[in-house]
Amino acid sequence: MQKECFGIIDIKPFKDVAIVLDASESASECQETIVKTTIQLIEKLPRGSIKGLYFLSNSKQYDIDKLLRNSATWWEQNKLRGSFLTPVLEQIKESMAVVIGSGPIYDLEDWQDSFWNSNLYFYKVKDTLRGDWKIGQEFQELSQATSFLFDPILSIEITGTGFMPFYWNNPEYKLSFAAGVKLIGSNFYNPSVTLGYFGDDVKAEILRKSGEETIALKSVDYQEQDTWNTLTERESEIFHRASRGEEFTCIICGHKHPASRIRCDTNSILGEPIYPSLGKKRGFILFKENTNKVCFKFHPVSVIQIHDHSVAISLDGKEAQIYELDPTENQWQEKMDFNHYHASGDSRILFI
Amino acid sequence: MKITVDEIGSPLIEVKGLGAINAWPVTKFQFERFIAETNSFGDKWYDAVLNLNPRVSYKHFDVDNYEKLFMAGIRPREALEFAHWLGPGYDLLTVDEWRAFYNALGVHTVPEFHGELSISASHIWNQLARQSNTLKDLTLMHNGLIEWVKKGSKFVGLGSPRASFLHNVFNPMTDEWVPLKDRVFYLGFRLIRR
Repeated sequence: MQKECFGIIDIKPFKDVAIVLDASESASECQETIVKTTIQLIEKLPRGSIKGLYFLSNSKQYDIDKLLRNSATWWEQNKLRGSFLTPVLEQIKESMAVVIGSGPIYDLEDWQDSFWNSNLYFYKVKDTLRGDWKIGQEFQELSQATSFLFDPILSIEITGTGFMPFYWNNPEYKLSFAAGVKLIGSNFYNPSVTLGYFGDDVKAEILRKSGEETIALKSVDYQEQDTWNTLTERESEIFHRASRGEEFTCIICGHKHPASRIRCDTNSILGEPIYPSLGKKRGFILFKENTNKVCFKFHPVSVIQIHDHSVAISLDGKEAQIYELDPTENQWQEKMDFNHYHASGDSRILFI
Repeated sequence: MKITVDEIGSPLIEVKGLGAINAWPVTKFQFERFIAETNSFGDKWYDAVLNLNPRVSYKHFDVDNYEKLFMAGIRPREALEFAHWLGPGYDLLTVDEWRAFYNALGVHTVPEFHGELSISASHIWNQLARQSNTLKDLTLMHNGLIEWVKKGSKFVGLGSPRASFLHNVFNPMTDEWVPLKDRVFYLGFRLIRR
């Protein structure tokens, strides 16, 4: 039996970049160029991507907006600290860093074969910062800096064994059956998403300009936050009859309709929902009966969980179908048409 | 004998009646933290030191080059500045203390130690323990550097480096090394917390 899971991908559309300035003696002649280059670089990078401004050998974060005004003082505060990256790298963690300066950094060997191998960049204003150490990349042109440091996410594909999402809170993601069941998002400003799903070993394949990486979903306890709305008394009466397969008297035209009718076409060719409270929204709607009222809420996506092993899916806005997991193949297969007022737990589901 | 750690996660060997002494000479990695925090040495000074005794990472040193791990080529006054920065009670060892520590190590084997070492100290402990039979080997009280120690108001060197690092016939229990010039590639130091 498939167990429902909730997971989260919490990720920025681009990586954070820490800018590390070299105020050491080996770069003392280059102070003006370093400041100028830094300001040009800041202008070229997306504002939200800059994690902070640091100096070599100093874990303190400086205010990037005050660089021009305070550079002389800051240089004085940092010129005899030597050229070491350790104090900064221990502080910033999990981002990219670009060092702007001149002359060798002494402790790069300590960071070889680490996360920083592929996340460290050196902008040499004059002499090499990296020397012969095999870590990061060194460059001397601003155009190279932006191509290295601005590394946006191009797409994310979420998939796994027997994967089937039934809820996600970021509309930039779409369900795809093209090569197995996948949830795919692309060209988005915010790639973060919380999703409910069936499946094992579910992972997100993240495609960046610089290459691919795969991350596992972080498991979360999902708390439903959507609010329920209430049908009017007359709509509730229709719901009670229709959900039991009985004909009902339409609020719109006053005539009797069969239980399966969900739109009344008396006033327009396309028809309007027999529950006017639903407005013009389309998709799956959950109804819940309380003692003396009927509540409803819209499901945000085109897949909805029906039972532990089945979902209803509407692809491209077409009529919904029920899919079930074939446990031997671990694949989801189309089983039957979705009928209105489908019972799921203590709810009924309608597709409009 | 008990092993503890200092303020920056490096191991100290506590000897009754003496104090807590660095388990090995002060490393470049330790001293670099001091350089970075104090803003008073700079690249030119460190280049001069590294020209005498180049640096090797605590992650990559081995039995052939471990001497490069340590802060050598340093003057005694600079070593004392480091001691002062590290905390109250730290000092260079005296001649008598160094020799008493040497004797106290005897033929003790290398103990298991699971204290809260810094990442760098942990790497060094594991690597030195692999290449050591006794605690004296691990502490590099022999086959290490010549170490600055105090003799009255002066400074002399004690130690017996291996021949491949420095040809010598020093017996640190009887001989004292009196420096002709004070910044040389084989002169390092360790500290005691009294």
